[in-house]
Amino acid sequence: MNKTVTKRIIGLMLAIMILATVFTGCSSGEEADTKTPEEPVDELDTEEEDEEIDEAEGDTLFDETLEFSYMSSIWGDHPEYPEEENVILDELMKRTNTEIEFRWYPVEQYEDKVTVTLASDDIPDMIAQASISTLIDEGAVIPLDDLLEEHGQNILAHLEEDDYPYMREAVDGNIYAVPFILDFPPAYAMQIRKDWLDNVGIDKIPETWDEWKEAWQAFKDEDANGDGDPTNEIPYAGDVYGLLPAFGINVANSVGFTEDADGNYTLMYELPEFKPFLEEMRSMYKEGLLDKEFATRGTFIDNPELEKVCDANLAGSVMTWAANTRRTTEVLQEVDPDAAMIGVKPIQGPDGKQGIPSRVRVTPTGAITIAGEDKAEDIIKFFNYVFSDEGINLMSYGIEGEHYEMEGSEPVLKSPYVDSFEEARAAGLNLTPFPHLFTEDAFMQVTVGGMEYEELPEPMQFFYDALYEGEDYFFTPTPILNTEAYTEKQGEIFPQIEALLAQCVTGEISIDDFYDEYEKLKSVGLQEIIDQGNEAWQMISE
Amino acid sequence: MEVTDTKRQKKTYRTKTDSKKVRSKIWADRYMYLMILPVVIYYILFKYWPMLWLRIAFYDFKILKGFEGSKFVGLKHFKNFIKNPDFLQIMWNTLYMNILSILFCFTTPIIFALLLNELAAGKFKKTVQTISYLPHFLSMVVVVSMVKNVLSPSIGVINSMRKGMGKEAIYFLGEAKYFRPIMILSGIWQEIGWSSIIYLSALSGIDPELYEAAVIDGAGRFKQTIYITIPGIAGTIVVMLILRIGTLLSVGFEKVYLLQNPHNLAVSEVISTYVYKRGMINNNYSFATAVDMFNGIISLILVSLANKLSKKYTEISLI
Repeated sequence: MNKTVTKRIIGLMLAIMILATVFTGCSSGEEADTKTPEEPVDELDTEEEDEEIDEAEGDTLFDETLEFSYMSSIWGDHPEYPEEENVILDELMKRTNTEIEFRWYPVEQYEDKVTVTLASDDIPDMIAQASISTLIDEGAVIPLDDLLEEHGQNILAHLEEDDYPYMREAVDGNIYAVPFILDFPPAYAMQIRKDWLDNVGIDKIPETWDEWKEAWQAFKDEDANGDGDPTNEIPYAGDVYGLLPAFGINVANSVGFTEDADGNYTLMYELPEFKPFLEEMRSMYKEGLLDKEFATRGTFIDNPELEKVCDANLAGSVMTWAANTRRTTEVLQEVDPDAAMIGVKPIQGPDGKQGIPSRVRVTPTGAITIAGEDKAEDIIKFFNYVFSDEGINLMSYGIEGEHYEMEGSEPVLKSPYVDSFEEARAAGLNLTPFPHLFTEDAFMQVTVGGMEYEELPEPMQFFYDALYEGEDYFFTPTPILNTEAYTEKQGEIFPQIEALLAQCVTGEISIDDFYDEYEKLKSVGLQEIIDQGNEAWQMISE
Repeated sequence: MEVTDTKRQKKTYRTKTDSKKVRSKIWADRYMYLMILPVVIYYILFKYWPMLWLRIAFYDFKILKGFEGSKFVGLKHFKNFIKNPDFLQIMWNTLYMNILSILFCFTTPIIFALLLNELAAGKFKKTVQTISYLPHFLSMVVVVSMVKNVLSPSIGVINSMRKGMGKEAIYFLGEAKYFRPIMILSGIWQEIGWSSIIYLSALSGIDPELYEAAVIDGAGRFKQTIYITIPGIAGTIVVMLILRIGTLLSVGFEKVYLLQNPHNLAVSEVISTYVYKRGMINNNYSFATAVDMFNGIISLILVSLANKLSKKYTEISLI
């Protein structure tokens, strides 16, 4: 074979390879993204087993198999059924005589995937974890109120009055999705470094605003972390939003919607309590008590960044997830066995106000699309079973003998499922991308790893205590209502308000300037957002 | 009549011959055409075909309803963008960032390439080149995370050094005046090596005899650079500059968005971040397309203008 021929062959092969790469590139994403259901992993093929199925089918929810498709994002340790085993879903489908075609996608760019799916001819019967207001705007989903009333009484029975503003959509006040309910209110906690308090000679855990300021000042002035550098302590780390409840402003996000004294839906900036809050924040920033990076890290802005300073032994106090007490203490105790981030009662503000946000119980999760409209009644019946006692038991504790045992009349999760949420989720428990109710008891069993309080290691005890320290001061945060004006203009207006707030706290602009600039935003859409929000609030609160 | 027929016959014959020649040339270079085919397909599929969808800029486009069911709104989205009270500020931020980028990020790779060219080929030169290319391959998220960590007033290296010298820590990302320098300096660090490759290849194309002649004439290194090297790569520089001018209204979205925070919003809000907030977060694709189309048209005008001016004054142009 002469050189020219060899070169040509190589050239041809290269060209084919490049061409193949292009087309593989085009199709591989599709293959990776569009997961089609496979045959059930444990397909039973013996006659005996078939008989068992037939017998079991006699007790199922549907006489004829209900088939529907379900699209959702998935994350963490949740199994990507059917590629990964999930015996709890198998059991659920067996009990109800249902076949669900699951389409799981990664969380990253999931909204884009939903948009592409809507543009295709292959819309699933249910879409979960997507922006419901967008789905409504596209006319892709149907309201469920009547169906829930008629066929979903179990679901409705588990909704409390405070849940409805989260369940109803601002555009028309209807419910569009079946919820995931986590019936466990504790979530956040005010936290302080107990060992730092000891280092600066403060015996009493601060409670009032003055006591807190005294503690913060001591953290700042004395080398509270004992690293030889008296300038690197951050007395209060994180965003300013965590301090709002101490001023009677019950908000738990950076957007700031809340209810005023007259029951109107408004923004926190409109409240009379906001001005004293601003004054205090400016004063704290000036005195070096507030985190210099308050605008870029914090529970409601960037929690991983907040965790970094906690782990670096620089944060004296924070208002964040209660679980942070355990995590931070464990990290710090690797270096200093005395380190202790403990949960304490919420700060009592200058006017004696106290509050800590509780967990929002409900998350509207799975919406029925126009493609699934014909099956909507049966789909709601199916989820009605999921929210029945049997269904709740199955989704929270799994299968008796396999995942839990009955001790008296109480289900007790077995190891390894009780050891951690990772293990529990890997087994199919607490499948958050799928509507169900996860009980407080199951949540606590996994949280404490099935142990008694006395058996828990110290960081775990801190976590347990932190969960309940603020119990008497829980408030349910007001939801953000996706009205037409909010959807259209929030992207440009709220970053500007956050910028004004940051400038005001750092002293770049005065409080009067803040309010002047804030008022100017009303003419470019902010007033419309507030008005439409209030209108929707009155409608969904009825 | 006969003359006309003969002419026609000749013309037909010539056309046939030409077409045969073209076909035989294509066949002779068939492997080359086969190799370029994927690129052509890529451009048609991912660059030209999507252009047909530009018309959604003139609709209140609803995915499920398609063009037939969506409302035609004419120039509504373009007007909304231009009437925005922050329109001028956003345009200025975008332009200013790009002008700084042309002044610094565009010129430093040229200087870097010239400096590398002066080094004798050896391990040191190769090491410098390799190290300078590395940042280009880092993901933008990693780069921004590094920048944030290095500049952090609480855990950053720079502020630790400042504190060590008895100075107060500065929250660099918390002061608007530092935003542009951070963008430019990190941009230079990221791209200086990678962007210099094209100039290094242009430098390797300069005839060595020119340098030999210059040495005989007594020219030193500096004069050789001024009179041989720079004119030798001037064509490449001009072409790159024209292309760069075409992106005057585009700033890399990821980096700006990741470095953006409430403190620097006044200087960091550029067209791409604005489009993301207004268009993409809310799935308002019509608005996002309208702004992008506006951006594209201005860029096309700018690049055509730069090309024309370059053609007129330097006789170097893209087309």
